[in-house]
Amino acid sequence: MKESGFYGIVVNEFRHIFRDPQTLAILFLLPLVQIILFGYAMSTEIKSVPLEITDLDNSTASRALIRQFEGSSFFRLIPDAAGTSAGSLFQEERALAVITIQNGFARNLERTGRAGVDVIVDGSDGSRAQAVSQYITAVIRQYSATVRGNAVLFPVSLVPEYRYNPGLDSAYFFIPGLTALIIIMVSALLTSLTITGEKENGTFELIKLSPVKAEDVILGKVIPYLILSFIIGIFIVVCGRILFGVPVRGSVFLLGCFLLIYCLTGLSFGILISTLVNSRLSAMMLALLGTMMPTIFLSGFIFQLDSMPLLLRAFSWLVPAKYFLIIIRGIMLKGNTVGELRFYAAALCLFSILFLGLAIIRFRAYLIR
Amino acid sequence: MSDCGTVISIDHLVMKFGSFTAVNDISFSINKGEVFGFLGANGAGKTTTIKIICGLLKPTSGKVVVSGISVGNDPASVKRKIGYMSQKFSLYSELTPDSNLDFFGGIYGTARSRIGQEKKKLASELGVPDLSHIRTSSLPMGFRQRLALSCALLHDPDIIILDEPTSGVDPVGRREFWAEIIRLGREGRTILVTTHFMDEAEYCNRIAIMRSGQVLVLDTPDAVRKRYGTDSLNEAFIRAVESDGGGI
Repeated sequence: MKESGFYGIVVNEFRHIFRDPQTLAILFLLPLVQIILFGYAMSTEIKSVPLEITDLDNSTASRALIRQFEGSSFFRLIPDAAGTSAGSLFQEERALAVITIQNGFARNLERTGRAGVDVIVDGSDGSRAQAVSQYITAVIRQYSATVRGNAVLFPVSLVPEYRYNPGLDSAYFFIPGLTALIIIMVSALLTSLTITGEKENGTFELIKLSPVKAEDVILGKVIPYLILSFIIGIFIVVCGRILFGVPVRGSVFLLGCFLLIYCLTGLSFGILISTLVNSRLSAMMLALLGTMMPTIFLSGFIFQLDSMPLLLRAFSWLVPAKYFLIIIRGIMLKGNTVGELRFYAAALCLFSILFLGLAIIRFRAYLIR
Repeated sequence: MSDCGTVISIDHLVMKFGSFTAVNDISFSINKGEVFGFLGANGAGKTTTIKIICGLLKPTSGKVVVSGISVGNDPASVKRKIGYMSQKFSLYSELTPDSNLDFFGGIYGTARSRIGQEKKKLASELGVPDLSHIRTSSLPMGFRQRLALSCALLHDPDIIILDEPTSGVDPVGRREFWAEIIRLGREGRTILVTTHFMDEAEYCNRIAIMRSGQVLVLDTPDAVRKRYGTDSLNEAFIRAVESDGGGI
């Protein structure tokens, strides 16, 4: 008798999920579209930056330097810009950087072994400007090496090795981040609509009239969506693998376990919302705002937490996605194991228990007032 | 229909919402097998009283005992004894009738065989082979009310509470619905029904007319008519709620 109430709720919720194949399809299409948008449109790598080089020296050496830039896939020399000032080139968005090779470049190089070029970069987008100047430095360094015949121009040469993501592929960064974002959003949304939906239809009255226990209703509604959001999570990781070759270096089983806990956190948050408000619309707003904003700004997905003011960093400890991001980046890219991640997983469990507990207490208040 | 013992007893029940008194010190009892009509204008306190009987609201003071169990002490046990059908149509309209029966059977822990039996019975009433491919929302109103009643009766309750069960149902549907209610009363079930239709009130063994949270009159339809000196129950109702008798 006791289990049957719970079973009834679970079966009913599954029927609601499968009754509407269109919504189900959207649940899978949405992450796919986001992955593709992030992957192809929002690529953070820089390719064919428009560049203007003014050659006032016009020597063999300066032309060799220009050829070095021409040969690089990072840069594209813009035509017909001779004599236009850097300011107006930036204003018109025709160039992102202007290099001027001063008169006497070849002579100085010949006599002293040293020569400078003037570089002006459009700094309106800070991170882009930084990347552009790094690429310019790299090309000039290559040129220097050819001039001095591999002699040591820079006494200490720097050849960084990027561990875990040798090619600095942006997919490695956004696939784990997107998984964290989409899962918390979708799972909170799914459950936030369940009880509010019943309140709107009037079926909630009948549940209140039945002898079903609060915990049976709450858990009975969470479990079907736990399975659904888990499958969506796996789907995103598989898409990342197939479309962008993002690996899972650690244990797939471990990733699955932690993904399940993270889904539960999102679902618990959603069901708590569902017990707090009375309309589907306000539940939807709360679920989306309450998960999307903190996850984008305070999880470390896009913005570096280390460089934030203390107050925001402190607040970030309340964002479940922060913990999952450490877990999923750890397992997918670094091959982390349980030992390194157990604290973060425990935090997610704590969030889930807290949200579920509050939801059950809140639901009980409906039953006997 | 005879007095076979009290099933619902209401003793000095008061329900206040802030400064508003929805139920103002009412006392009465309903006997086993009785069809008891609850009449009154909107806001008279009928729905509040029903919610207290069902264990959905905790009264400000007073006591309700259902089948010997105090609602305040053990609402879960009382809920098992009551089958409730609301004025507002509240089934899962986007699911099939079969799924609705499965759900309400499920939350009350009803045996699967009993649920299957009910599915067959309803399908034959509608004249279709089965009810697993139709959306509940596409059924005619009268049949949806019939389905709601089936859902409310799946756990075989001793007490059936119907809150304006026939609003929006055509006259033929209403008559069939009441034939079912009377049959249920004959089976020994106790029925508490609220209604705005005076012809339906005629079917009741006893009626109570409520106004401003108080019971103005409680008697058989015949006695109520006699008391207000009219042949029409409708007229008696109007005279009762417009009189000062029983007022504060």
